[in-house]
Amino acid sequence: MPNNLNREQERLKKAVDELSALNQIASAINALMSVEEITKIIVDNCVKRIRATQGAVYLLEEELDDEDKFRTFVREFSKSADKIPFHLNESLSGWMIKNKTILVSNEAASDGRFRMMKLDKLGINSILAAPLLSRNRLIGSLVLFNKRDESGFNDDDKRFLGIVGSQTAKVLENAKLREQEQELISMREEIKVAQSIQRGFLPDKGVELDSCEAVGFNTPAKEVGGDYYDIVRLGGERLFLSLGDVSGKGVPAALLMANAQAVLRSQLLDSDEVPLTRLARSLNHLICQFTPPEQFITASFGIFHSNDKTYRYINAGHEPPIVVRKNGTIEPLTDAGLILGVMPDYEYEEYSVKLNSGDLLFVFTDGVTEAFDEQGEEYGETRVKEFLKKRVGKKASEIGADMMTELSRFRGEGVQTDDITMLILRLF
Amino acid sequence: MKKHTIRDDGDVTILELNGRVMGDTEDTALFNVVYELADQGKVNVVMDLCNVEWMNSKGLGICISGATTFRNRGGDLKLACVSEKVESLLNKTRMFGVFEVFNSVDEAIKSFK
Repeated sequence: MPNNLNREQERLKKAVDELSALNQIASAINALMSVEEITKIIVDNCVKRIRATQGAVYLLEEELDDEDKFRTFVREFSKSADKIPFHLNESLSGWMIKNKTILVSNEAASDGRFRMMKLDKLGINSILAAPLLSRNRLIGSLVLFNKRDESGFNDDDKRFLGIVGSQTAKVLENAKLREQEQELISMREEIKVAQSIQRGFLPDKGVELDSCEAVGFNTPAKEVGGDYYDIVRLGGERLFLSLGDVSGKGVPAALLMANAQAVLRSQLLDSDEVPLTRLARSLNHLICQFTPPEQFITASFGIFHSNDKTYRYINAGHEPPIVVRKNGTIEPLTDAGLILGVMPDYEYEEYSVKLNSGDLLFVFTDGVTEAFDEQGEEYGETRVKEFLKKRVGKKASEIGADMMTELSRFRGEGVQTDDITMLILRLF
Repeated sequence: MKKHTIRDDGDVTILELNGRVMGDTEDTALFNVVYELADQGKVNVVMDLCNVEWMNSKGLGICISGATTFRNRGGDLKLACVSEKVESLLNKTRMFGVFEVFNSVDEAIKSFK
């Protein structure tokens, strides 16, 4: 009887020990800890309790946008300074993905599962690993190396590590999700900053000379856009207008756009007598040199001279700007050269058009003509021309605002797929 | 409908595209198709656009990338059977001078031989 009693006492003591160790882990972890902090607590406690020399947590990281959903990346959180070689944690993780159960190997060096690993050279003689399962999905594994006792990892160790694995998987997964969420939030904030910087590049007010007024409009399809426009007042009652469309969308397009605008502006600052053809050549060189072949810019820029009421311009593969005469006649400016960024030695030509009092010049990106309604029909050039005909005599800012309203009315429930940008010059 | 198919005619490769080429995710994969063809040494390529009613500037970017990649390796990308809309895009951007454009796929293939 006393023997039985002793055994029972021993069993109870072990159970209490185990519970208190588990409790210790549970109470040390709180919901706001990082993945790294949580894994450290788990590994530290398990190494101590089970008397191993080293421990680690391997988390599987799914690349969701990859075609191969099963490809995983392993993030290691190891207690020891001695890193476990990558091929070993890979093969452990591989075994875990297949078996999703506890692994114990007390003669690791001769264990067929770790053939080729040369574990004896790594100083590893025993391994105990538990799956981290959250809602039946494997998110990683908790691994201990080298039991300090000769006898190796026993059934109690297996049970303990199994319980820790199953109890902490959920917490770890939550922490992982929270980290991802934080990354997303900070990325969104950065994009917001980029958006406001980009907004700052575009002149938000129109410019007025004695003879004319000019105003620009831009609504990007994404947070940051690839279109730009610029209006710069030059000496001698002249006005520089430019508008461009960078191929692609989002941040890469926005960066190239900012660069293009800077090149044009800085050359104008050097000398506002710089020939338009030279501006085009520099810009073309820059894009050819620094961007991949698929990235290019279509742009139209020019200078309106008040003294002879002439608009001198370059068109680099851009939508032909439209002149609307006072009497409603439409004249698209179809003279153009190649898009920027394709042929480094291309020579651009300057063209000119004489404007008269009451005339309009409408420069725009294809986001205007290629606005689609719910049935997938495009707004198109004909509608743009009809719209402009009816707006002769109106202020430039009113025409732009009307066009924005018109396009969103046309789109209806359809989404805006491309940046919408336009410049309007009106002669008094 | 599948977005693209690839077939060979002697040492000319025909890359047939379908639908609208507007630079969406599926179109972005075409960049990889171009690189894969180049890696396999297939650099004489005809882009069959018979079933492409619409292309925008992002789609054009794919053509330019293809032409550059293949030309750098001694080949070329030629366009065949362009729709009115694609033709107008090539006109506006003045890319007719950069690409060789043919009325039919057969003519484009012949031009390589």
